Amino acid sequence: MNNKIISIFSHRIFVLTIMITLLVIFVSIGAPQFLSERTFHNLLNNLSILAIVSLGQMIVMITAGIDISVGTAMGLVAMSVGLLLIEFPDMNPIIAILLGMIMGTVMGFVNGLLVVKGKIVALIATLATMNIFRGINVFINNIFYEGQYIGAEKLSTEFKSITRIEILGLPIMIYYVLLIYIVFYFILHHTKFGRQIYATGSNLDAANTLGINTSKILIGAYSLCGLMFGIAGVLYLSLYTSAQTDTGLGFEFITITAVIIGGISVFGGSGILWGVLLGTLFMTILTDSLNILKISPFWKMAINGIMLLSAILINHYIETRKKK
Amino acid sequence: MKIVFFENISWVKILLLILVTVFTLNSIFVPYYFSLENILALSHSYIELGVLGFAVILLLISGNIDISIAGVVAFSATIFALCFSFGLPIPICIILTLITGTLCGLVNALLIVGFNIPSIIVTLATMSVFRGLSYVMLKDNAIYGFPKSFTYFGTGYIPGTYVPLELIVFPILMIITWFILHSSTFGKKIYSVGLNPDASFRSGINVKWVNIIVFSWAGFLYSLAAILLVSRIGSVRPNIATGYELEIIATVVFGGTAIFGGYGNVWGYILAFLTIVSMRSGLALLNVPGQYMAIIFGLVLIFSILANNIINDRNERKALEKK
Repeated sequence: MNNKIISIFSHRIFVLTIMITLLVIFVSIGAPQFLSERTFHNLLNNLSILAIVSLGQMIVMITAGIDISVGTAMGLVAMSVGLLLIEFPDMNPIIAILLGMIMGTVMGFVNGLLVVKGKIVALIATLATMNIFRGINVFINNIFYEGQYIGAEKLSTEFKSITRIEILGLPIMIYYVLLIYIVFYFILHHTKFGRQIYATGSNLDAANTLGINTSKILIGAYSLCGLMFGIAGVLYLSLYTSAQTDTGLGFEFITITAVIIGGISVFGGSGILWGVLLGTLFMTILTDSLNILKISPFWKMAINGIMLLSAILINHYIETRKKK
Repeated sequence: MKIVFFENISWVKILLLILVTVFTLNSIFVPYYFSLENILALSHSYIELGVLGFAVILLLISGNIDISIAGVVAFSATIFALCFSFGLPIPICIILTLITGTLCGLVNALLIVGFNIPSIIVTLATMSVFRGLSYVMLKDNAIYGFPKSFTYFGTGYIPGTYVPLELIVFPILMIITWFILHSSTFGKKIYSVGLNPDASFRSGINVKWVNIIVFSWAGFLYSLAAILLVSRIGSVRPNIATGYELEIIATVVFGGTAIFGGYGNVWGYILAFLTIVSMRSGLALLNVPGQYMAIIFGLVLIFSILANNIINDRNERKALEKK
């Protein structure tokens, strides 16, 4: 009986739901306008971009890797697609999304190659590509657009509308997110590929011995992560109608925090999708509430760092206790 | 006839060749490059990075990776600026800054050692904590107006020569680091911990203690670099030293230090540092925008790890063939 209660309380989804509820109650006492429909829609939109990128980050982290290039990579996709849209204003939005997906996947594939074939530690490899992506972003921006940022007036209404329709009173972005999460729920938990990702992350050598082609799985994981930031980049451009050379700067840390809060072990091999979705929700509410509660935006980075650090320590504590 | 130089390819030899090539190319293509005066003046802007490298090389050899470098530098610089704006005399500000840096390193070490979490993960988190605290304390203000006697250290020259005053720090740290790594028992312990922490532990080395000392020493050097940086540019903003972690990790790895620990030496680092400095200064004189430098550093980091991997594989295969 007693054990049952403890096991419910140590269940990630349950704990996260309580944390989110407490946070919402706390913020709405401090600022009642938090419960308005407009804030809610904003929140869902902000959540969507983070949730999509975090899903990619999660897949990489399940394989015991990490990708800190996701933020700048997303910025680069947004910038390149934006530049193309200025050049070809009549481009079909679906083609723009496809282009973003292809670009992202290629960038993720490069990350994967460096980690797997180049045998470079994931963090260091992606630290390098992160800076390369930012450099390329500045470079193409200077060459093709004289260093100006891409603003709303440059994008067609057709392209902007792909993220601004409402269905049943909710922004369409949240449907995209749910669709992607449901698809990946089946991929991760109900296909051979998904189980192989978990197996590779929890024990690389054992997975190799069992005949899993771990190189393929790892490169696949990084490419999927690329696919996610590719999609997110195009949606970001359409939603916020802006792309600058510093778009996505620091975004990688929010995704990592969200993923770790969501219960993904930094050592790989464990964690579930819905935890990550709740982790992103938690982080989005936290960052959005800073504005609403009129807390100085300079606290944002420190708060994120403290959240990340405590999430790592708490996860670690739970894991070591489970092992005992 | 075989050329003896190429008989055993080692990274230091390749670096030496790269350095000579870069230097020659610079002298040919960049006007006014080749003069002692210019080279010394150029070295001015990179001394902080050089100081950071002496910390990073110890960390990498001991099998750790520190991503919080720039965060600690920014945090120390912030503490320095705040102490100064409270009206404390400069020597006390400096001492407090050095203590702050050392404590930051100690915090990193205690989290790593105490919870047994990889340094890469811990410092990824503390990086945003330190940088974030700098933003909280300084907001978007810049603190400047340090006294002449302090900024002279970062901008002035040894009287009567073209040698920047700051440059004195470099040989001193070089000798200290050389002594630690190559001539002390503690250095042997660092290599051993980096190669195999478990085996080191079983052979009686206090692995935790080694990590704590290496991280605290690194924190001390970060704050020293912060002081040098502030004294050179004369102001402190919360975004100070952005991107330093990539630059310095890339340089140290370029110097042949293994990212997994256990290998590396001071000479490789010195050569790599000189190569990077002459490459950067050449590009700067050719008016290549600083933001493109990130691409170059990223590529240097990737290629030096790849080349090191290839050379190590080759040497291992040779060693096996001999057996």
